[in-house]
Order: sequence, then structure tokens, then C-alpha cells
Amino acid sequence: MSLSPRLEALIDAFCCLPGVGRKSAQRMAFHLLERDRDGAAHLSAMLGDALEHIGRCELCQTFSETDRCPVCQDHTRNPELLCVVESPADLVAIEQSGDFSGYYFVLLGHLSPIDGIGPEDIGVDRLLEQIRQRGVRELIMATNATVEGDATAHYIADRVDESVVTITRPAQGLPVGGELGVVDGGTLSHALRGRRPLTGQFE
Amino acid sequence: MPGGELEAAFVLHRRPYRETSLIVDFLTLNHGRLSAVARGAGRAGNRWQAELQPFHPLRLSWRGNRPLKTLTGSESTAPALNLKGNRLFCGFYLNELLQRLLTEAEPAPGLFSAYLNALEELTRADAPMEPILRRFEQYLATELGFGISWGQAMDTGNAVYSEGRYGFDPGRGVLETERGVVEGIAGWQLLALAGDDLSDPGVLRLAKQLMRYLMDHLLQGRPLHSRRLFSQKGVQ
Ligand SMILES: [Zn+2]
Repeated sequence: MSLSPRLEALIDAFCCLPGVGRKSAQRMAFHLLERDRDGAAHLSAMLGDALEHIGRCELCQTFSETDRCPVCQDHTRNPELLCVVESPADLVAIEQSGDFSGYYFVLLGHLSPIDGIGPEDIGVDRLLEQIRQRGVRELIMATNATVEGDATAHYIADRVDESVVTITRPAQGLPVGGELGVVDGGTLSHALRGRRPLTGQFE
Repeated sequence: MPGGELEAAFVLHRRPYRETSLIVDFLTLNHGRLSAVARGAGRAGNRWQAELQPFHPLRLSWRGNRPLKTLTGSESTAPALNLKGNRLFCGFYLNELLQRLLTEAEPAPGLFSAYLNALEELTRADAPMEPILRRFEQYLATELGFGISWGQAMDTGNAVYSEGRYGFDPGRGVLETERGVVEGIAGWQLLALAGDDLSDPGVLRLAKQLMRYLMDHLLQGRPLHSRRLFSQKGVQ
């Protein structure tokens, strides 16, 4: 069966979503056009609106509608604590655990040389700048429990003046290969409370 | 894989595939580099999430005749090799070299053991990192058909002598009269390389310089990103 050019284009557009192949994309397109044109109009408006108004926080890089996100605007937090996470989902998970009173830095990824993702792509320079500006005393490296997460933590730790800043990593107990965003709150707050110095783990 | 025996392997690289799967590239003992879909491995809590990690000695089974296989089973044969800090970056460097340079499904059993040896040496805190990398690079180049005869000039056919000065070209090797990309290399240093003696710091520096030219030659302009991870004072 050959589809009209616009329909083809719509299906192609859905394929940009992670985990969506041609079949699912076609199902989505047909569903919206056949059964839920109002939903489609709403989706289209929301996408446009989101693209126009959601950017990145100028301090922590997380998604934000304002220059600074609500967390960074909250002046009751402890500026000496900075928690480095890989994704906005990790930030949300830690916020929900309710155990952390400092600020965040969201890398939006991890170092992955084979994929061509280097230090500049995850904002390491901006992070180092933040550490100086905020007067951070403890840097919590809450990157994922994967080799890439470890490598990212080490790369950053290597560039921080450890006479000024203590570097810690959440305790064991996080599943290997797991992402913080999908770990349950209890495990996460346990891991955060039991964080320990990274120094000595790396040479 | 066809017929019974599980195949020894290491993960080189993984990337998301469809909703909940991963495409994983492996270095295998008898089948060289191999790509396979690990169904469900992208789902939180899936056993493969933890198991299919780089530097983790594995045994695999798979099926399929096309280049992209389907992983049917895996078992862990030992705990993951414990690489920390710069030694972890060295591991990434080896993986990136293999991922970029190794053709799929070309058997390279010697390379597999060279890789395993290199990783095991990297876990030993007292083993200097650079000679491990240089030896692996040489092994890889030889495996790919680009091994260098350090003890012989390729333009004249003469044996290298200790007091001579030589040039080097990554496509040809050691040169006696013709010009290379590196010039004025002392004969005794080349003889040290020929004898796999990297104990002299000057020889080690030379090895790094020449192997870099050789790797770049093999990569044909493709970048090698893990080099950038090493700190200024750095190794590698
Ligand atoms: Zn912010």
C-alpha cells in the first residue's frame, strides 16, 4: 500500500521518538487521524508550546521555562552541596526521595567516547564554573552505576581541586547498570545518606 | 550460535534499540566482532542490564544468519574486571580501537587473548599503563595485516643497525633512505621496539608517537574520542 506524502512524512516524524519503529509510528499516525483529531491538535499545540518555552536552566542545565529553574531559584538550599546527575529524571528521583538539600548539575548524558560524546558535550566546563561560583564544598557524583557513569565521575573528579571540595559517590546498593531515575525512593535515599568519599577509589 | 558451546566474549559497546532492547557489539573468541540484539535488555531490572557491561567476562549464545544476530543467552564467567580512573579510560580506548578497526565476523582468537591480557594487566595497580597500550596497539596492527618490522628498513631491505638514523612511515614501516613522517629515529631505539623492550622512557615516548601515526593511518581519518579523556599530565 502506498501512503500519501503527508502521511508518510507524519510517520517518519514519529520515528524520531526513542523506541518507535515504523510499525508503531504508523499505528500512532493512524490512531490520531482516524480516532482522535482533537488529541492530535492538542499534541501539536503542546509540542509547539514546549519547544518555544522550555529551555535549559542557565545554572544546572535541567529543563526549565525560566532562565533559572525553581530549584536553582530556591535560596533556602545549601550552596555547599552540589549533586551531579546524568538526567532530569535522576534529579526528579532525588528530589522525591526528599533527602537532599543542595543544588544539582544535570549533565544530560555521560561520557561515551565510542559515541563521540566528550566532556564538552556534557558541560564539564560549566560544571567546574558552578563549583567555583557557588562555593561548593561537597560534590556528590550521582552518575549511573555503569562503567560510563564511573568514567564520567572520575573525569570530573580529576578536574576538581580536592583540597577545597570533597567528592563523594552514593553508597553501594544501587543496581549495576541501573539508572537512578528508575530506582525506588527508599534505595535512593539510603544510597545518598550512605555516600562516601571518592578519593582513594581512583588513582 | 550454532551448536551447543557458549562463546567467550566481552562487550565493546551498547546502544538502545527499539523500546526496550539494546544492540550490543561484542569481541568474541572465535567470531571476532559480533553485533547482536539483546531483547528486553533496555528494560529496568532486566538481568542483561547489569550483565552486558564492558570489561565483564561473558559467555554467549545467539542465533541468526544475518550480520545482526539475536542474543539467546549469556552467562557471567567471572566478576567484571575492576578498572578505575585512568585505567578505565585505557579500557575505553581499547574498546574504541576494536570497535572502529575490527571488521565484523572476522575470527581473531589471538586478539581476544591479547585483549584479555591487556585488561588483566590494567587491573594491576603496579603495572604501568603505557606499555600495555603500546603492546596491544602493535598486536592489533599485526592482526589487521599492518604489523611493523622494527628491525628492518622497508625501502632498502637492510637490517636496522644500532648507530643508524631512520625514518618512519605508517603505511610502509621503517625507512633508511626515503623520507618518512618521522625522521631521525635512532637505530638502537627501533631495535628495542623489535625486542619488545619498552623499559627506556625515550623508547616508550617513541613507541607512543609511532603507534599514534600507525593507528591514525588505520583509522583513515576517523576520530578516536577516548584519547581526549586522558588528563593533561596524562598517560596514553
Ligand atoms: Zn537550575
